[in-house]
Amino acid sequence: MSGIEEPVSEEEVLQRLKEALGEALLDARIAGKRRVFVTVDREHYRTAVVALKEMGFDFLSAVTGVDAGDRFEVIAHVGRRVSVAVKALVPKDDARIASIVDVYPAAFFYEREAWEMLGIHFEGHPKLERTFLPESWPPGVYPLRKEYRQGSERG
Amino acid sequence: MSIYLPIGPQHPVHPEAVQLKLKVEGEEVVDADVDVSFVHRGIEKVLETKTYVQGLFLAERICGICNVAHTTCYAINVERLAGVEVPRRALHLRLVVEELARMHSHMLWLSLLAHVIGFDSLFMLAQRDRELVLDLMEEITGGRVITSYNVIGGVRRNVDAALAQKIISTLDGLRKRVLEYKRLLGEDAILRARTEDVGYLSSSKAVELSAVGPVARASGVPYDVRECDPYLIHDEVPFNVVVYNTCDVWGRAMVRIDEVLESIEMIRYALERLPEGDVRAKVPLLIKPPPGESVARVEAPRGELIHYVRSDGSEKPVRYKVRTPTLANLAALVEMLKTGRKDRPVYVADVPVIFASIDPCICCAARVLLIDEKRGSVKEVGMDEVVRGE
Amino acid sequence: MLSRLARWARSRSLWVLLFNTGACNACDLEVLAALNPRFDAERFGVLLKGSPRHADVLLVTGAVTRQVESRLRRIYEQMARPKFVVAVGSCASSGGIYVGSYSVHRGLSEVLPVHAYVPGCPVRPEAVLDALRVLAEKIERGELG
Repeated sequence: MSGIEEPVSEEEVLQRLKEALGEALLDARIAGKRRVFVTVDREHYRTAVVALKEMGFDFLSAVTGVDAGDRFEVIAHVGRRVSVAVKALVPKDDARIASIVDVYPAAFFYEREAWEMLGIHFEGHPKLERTFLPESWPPGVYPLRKEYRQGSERG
Repeated sequence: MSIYLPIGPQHPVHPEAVQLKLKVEGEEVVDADVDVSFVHRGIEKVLETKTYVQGLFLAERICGICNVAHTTCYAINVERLAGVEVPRRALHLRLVVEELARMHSHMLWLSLLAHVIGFDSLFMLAQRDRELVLDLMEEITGGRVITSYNVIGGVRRNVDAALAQKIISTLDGLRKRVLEYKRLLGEDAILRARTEDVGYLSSSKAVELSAVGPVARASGVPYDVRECDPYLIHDEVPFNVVVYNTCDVWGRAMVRIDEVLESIEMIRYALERLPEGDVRAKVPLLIKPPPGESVARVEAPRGELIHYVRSDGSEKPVRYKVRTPTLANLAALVEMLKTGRKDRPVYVADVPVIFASIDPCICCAARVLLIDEKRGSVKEVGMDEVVRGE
Repeated sequence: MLSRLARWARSRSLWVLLFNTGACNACDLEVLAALNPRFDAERFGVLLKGSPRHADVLLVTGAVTRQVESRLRRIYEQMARPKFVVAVGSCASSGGIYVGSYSVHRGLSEVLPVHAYVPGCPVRPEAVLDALRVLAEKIERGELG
């Protein structure tokens, strides 16, 4: 069963992330069996993700972008057994964050989707371009932002 | 799943019409890209405007083929958020329908692979046998394809002893047919020639690109959500995670056929030990989970399906995110299309087979763009035309 | 007299092209099922073709996403007259469960003329056969094309 062994328990994940991030770990909790949720500020997102990779987590499930009202959030879902959600807070007036494509190549399509739907720029991503929206879609309109009203881009 | 080409929908996961852009030199493919925008339906946005119960029906239609995986994942996610406990009898029944859905999906896949190779009799046979599974789904749930069986809190209909017996005996008969297909795949020279060493995805690439499902398992990566992150009663039901190390289309076919056989045994186990009790928990008509978030994962026929939900205490989600397995395998698909083995490049004729091997959730409407740099031509053709060699 | 013969012949050999404009696949599966040995649309002279140039009837599934719209029109234009269009399923009929999304139309009739609608989410193979029968009868009676 090699290649997918993540020998760390939920408690150990929290412990090691605390060691790697210290004060930058804004929130950390075990949300149930095999579920860990941590929150960091934007500057420490990559650090947290790299720390997980070094712990032996070689699998990225998804990257979720969220419009949480007063800010954006980028959540990297890492891990096969224990699913660790690393949430980074992104200010709305400066919507950018480091890309993790070099850490987990699978982020290639996931970051594109978050960019396209919410307008969050992933710095270092080699190819942030249209993936799901139609060719006729006007640039600068991000459908998953709360302010977007269905059909409004058609004028 | 999203619903995109093999990627979905908003679901960038399951698109139906998908466009592959291949760079070719003569008959060899040297580079590839994919356009998956044709099936985007904006589902995640619509989910924010629906209640949790309405959302279940929408999530179901992200992909008609894997609708059971989606409702299972969605129900589990909302139940976790709202603190709903599902009766054990319902967990068994959910597993039965989930595995039946896996079987019908894999058999559909087998028939489409046969069609793509030009083996139309196998296509017809697999379709005919698949109808037996659809009949069982219809008897249990009322629907052949879209079942609407899962509800928040359990399942919609009960299964009595007579039906349970019928399911088991039908599957016993089906088992013999599936073993025949397995023998065919192992022995038929043409099937093997078209699938062995085709669509190469090394074990290390499968890990590097976070591939999921049969695609990963045929490349030696033993990742199956039912084993790694068990849900329903997967921590009790004995089953094997099917792994092959051939890293090719043939391996993916063998993984799926063996999984059909595993599913039959899992269904038998779940039905023989069906506990007494209700099939659904009482939940309020309008579900308002407390503020919070949840992540749920299931092993859909195509691989790991992950749902994320955020609640603010109201009856509608703040955010509902779906990442379907076909999207997860998109990077692996591009890798397979670009990289042959040292002694065996990727030919244009292999493309439909490779594309089919990731089990994209789109059937027939794929468009392929052939860019021949040497001749300076760009042609847009249908996947069917590539299959026929035009 | 000749035109009656032509209509009769046409109604008994409707060749169909299936096009998915953003469907969840369930309707596509059931249309394909209508053509398999159990439901057997072939006994009515219905054949599934791969090219619009060989088809009389365009079976459209899905909610017609904005991205696929131009391809859909092109396929329709490539069909030779007389040609007929069938909206298969709730999505093609009215946008289905995706109504309100920024990405889909409110039904196929926003894009193409439609001659028959098949209700269902998904449709049943029997309903697809029935729609083709209704279409065939209308063609034979001279009410269409």
